Amino acid sequence: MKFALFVGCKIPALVPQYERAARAVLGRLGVELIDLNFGCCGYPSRHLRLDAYLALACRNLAKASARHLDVLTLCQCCYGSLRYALHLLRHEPGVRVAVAQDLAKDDLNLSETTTVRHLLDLLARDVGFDRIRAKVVRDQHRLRLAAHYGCHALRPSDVVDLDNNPHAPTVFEDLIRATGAAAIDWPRRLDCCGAPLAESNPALSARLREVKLADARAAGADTMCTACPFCEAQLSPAAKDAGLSTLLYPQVLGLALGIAPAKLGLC
Amino acid sequence: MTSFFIPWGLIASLAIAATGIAYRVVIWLSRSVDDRATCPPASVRVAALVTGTFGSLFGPRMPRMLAAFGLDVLVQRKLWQRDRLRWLAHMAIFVGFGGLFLVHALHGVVTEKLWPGYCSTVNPWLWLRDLLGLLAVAGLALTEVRRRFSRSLLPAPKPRDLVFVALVAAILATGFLLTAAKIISAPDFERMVATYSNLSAEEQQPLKVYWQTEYGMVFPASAPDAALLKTGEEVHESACASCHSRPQSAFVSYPLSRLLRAVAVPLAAANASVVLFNLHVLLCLLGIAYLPFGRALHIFAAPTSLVAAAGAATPATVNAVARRSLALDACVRCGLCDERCSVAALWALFDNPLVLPASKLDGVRRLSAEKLIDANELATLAQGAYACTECGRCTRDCPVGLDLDDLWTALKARLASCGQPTPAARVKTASASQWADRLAASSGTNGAVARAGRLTDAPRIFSHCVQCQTCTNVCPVVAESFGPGGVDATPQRVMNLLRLGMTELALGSRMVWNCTTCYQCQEHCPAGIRVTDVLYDLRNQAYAQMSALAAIDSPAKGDAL
Repeated sequence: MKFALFVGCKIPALVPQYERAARAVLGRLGVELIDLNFGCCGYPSRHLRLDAYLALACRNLAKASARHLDVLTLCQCCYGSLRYALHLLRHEPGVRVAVAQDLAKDDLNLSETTTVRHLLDLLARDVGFDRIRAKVVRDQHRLRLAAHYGCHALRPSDVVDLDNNPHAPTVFEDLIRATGAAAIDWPRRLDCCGAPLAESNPALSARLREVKLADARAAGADTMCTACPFCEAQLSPAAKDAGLSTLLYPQVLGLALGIAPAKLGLC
Repeated sequence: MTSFFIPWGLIASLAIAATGIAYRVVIWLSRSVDDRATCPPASVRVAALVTGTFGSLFGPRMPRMLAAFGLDVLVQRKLWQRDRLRWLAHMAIFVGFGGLFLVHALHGVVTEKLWPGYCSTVNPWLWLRDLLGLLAVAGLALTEVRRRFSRSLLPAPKPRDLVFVALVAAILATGFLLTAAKIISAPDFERMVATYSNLSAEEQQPLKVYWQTEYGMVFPASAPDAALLKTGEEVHESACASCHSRPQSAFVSYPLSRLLRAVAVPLAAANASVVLFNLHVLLCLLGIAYLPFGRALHIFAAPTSLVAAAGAATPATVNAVARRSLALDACVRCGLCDERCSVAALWALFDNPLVLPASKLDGVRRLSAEKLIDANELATLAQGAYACTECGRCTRDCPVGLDLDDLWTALKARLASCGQPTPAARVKTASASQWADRLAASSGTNGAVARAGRLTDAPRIFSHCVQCQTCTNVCPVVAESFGPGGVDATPQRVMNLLRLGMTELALGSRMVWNCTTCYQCQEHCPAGIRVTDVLYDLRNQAYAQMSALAAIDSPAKGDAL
């Protein structure tokens, strides 16, 4: 298994431990990662200009396809953003023509053969639960984790594809259980963390976060388990006040695989 | 040989340099990138600088500052990691020119103190000088070649940036020419003999023959004479050899002197070596005087910035304001940040170089110097500032160690205070219906791609909405928005506005701009309407029209600040 790793903007800036842990875990599971000169996925620009968003997103897709590689993202917003760009290229002929002209200026070609995958999707579908379970050496049974799905990996389900059932997904809980940890059931697990409004409407953003944290706590979780830098950066500063901590999924898996905490960014 | 520029020319150039640097320091402490309303007054900043500097110099951060000076300033660790070719060019110029400055220019204060037997015409000093000069020339050439062939996104350097490079090149060229001219200069020979020896005219003749044959000297009228050569060598050994290695070891200047041989006589008549010497000295003095005014300032500003950053207290103090001002002078415009910028591709699309960090820093400099008075330029800078995704690559890659992330954050606060807030903040300055009135007159578009992807122009996208309210019921923003400042229209009402052809009323609505894009509405819509995508599209449309409107409404020149 070989992928072009798309680290994105937020992980190096806000949660570098996510990249460390993901590289450590994927190395252990035999997934080869290639580093390409990727830029922004386009997600922040999509709010303001579709052309700016597509110019950024499609350049990344073109770079990966030139190397005949599929893209692996760790961030759910990068995942959703790149997947939506692919979706538009496939379904909107007008967009496809305009983007092709724009890319030609940088000697890049459009290709629809490249797919975009998220870390959780790769672990569940390609690596597989059995292989993960077989490699677990330190059962994480003490952890009671609340799976924090993140919106852009689930919806819109005609664009992204983390789970076959976007209304009642189980993939994140299954991945948590594969490490031996408990995955608690909590009503608001599919809701928005509020991160997209952190700058433009901090009060509303904080309310969305508090509601989720309180819900997870009430359901008996001790830790929020995330797989997106936006969710992690949004939840972790407030989690302590809610009586919770946060862990990124590859950190949990890494511990279960017996990887030293320092290599998972945990010390 | 003494120059008639010494000492007064040296004193004048040092005075100009010192005044210039003092002026820059005053600017670092008085001007500010920050929002002027929150920026502390100059007196507070000076006091903070004094206490901060003492705290750092005599505190626990001193080792970090020393490490920064060694690894980041002298060895250029970051440049080595990012671009070996540039590192090579930089180190060649730094070691070459810096070495000449220490060993050659400061020979009286440095070299003679360390090596008491120092004599510039004896090896290793003779060939070392040529080696250092050649290194510097090679470094300059490498820089220029790389600049020509790289696809840099930086605008062409300004004339004042090139002045210092031209001065350095001219200093090196006159240095080599001077050495070459002296190798063949008969007047210099006569002067040396008169000054340092008591040789009679009979003894001088064989010495001239020897120097013409072995040392490359050119005399107007004398032919090699084998008989005198032996005598000449003896005279040379007793009178000259202790202070003169063979000029052939000056491996650049000596071949150059062979080229000049043909014009040796006119050069001697014109006293060329004296003229070149004074020219060389004059250029060096000009270089010193110019230090604070062009790109050369980085020689002083970049190490200061690197060491100050290593010694800075955390969390940031008032001194962060001065460090931001300092950063504007410390940037060497290498453009490494531009090459790796996450949103570099937007530069061409927006036709706005201020998207790129190095150019954006130029814009910040103009804003900080209060030169940015044109509202259009301010809007261009704002577009560049808000396109940034805060990925931090520019900061991590900067060989001068500038905290560019911090600079961009300060820039955004400053822009917000002078009429260029983020688009989301601008929307909040008026209600949806006020925006609808204003935007009715505007007609901004975003180019071919945006038109191709536009959803709100196509009734098939939203006309089949049955107003069932499922979207509203699953919306987390609606659920958490009560009272003033909440949503003014639910998603279902926005769809209805579109159906009624009242798109303008939706553009500035809080619902559109408070949407978290969680896609619950779209995923749950029983009619399969792309509700979230439509909200995205409305923001795009609003942004285009508001930008067009801002261009019309832009304040008169001078009012922007």
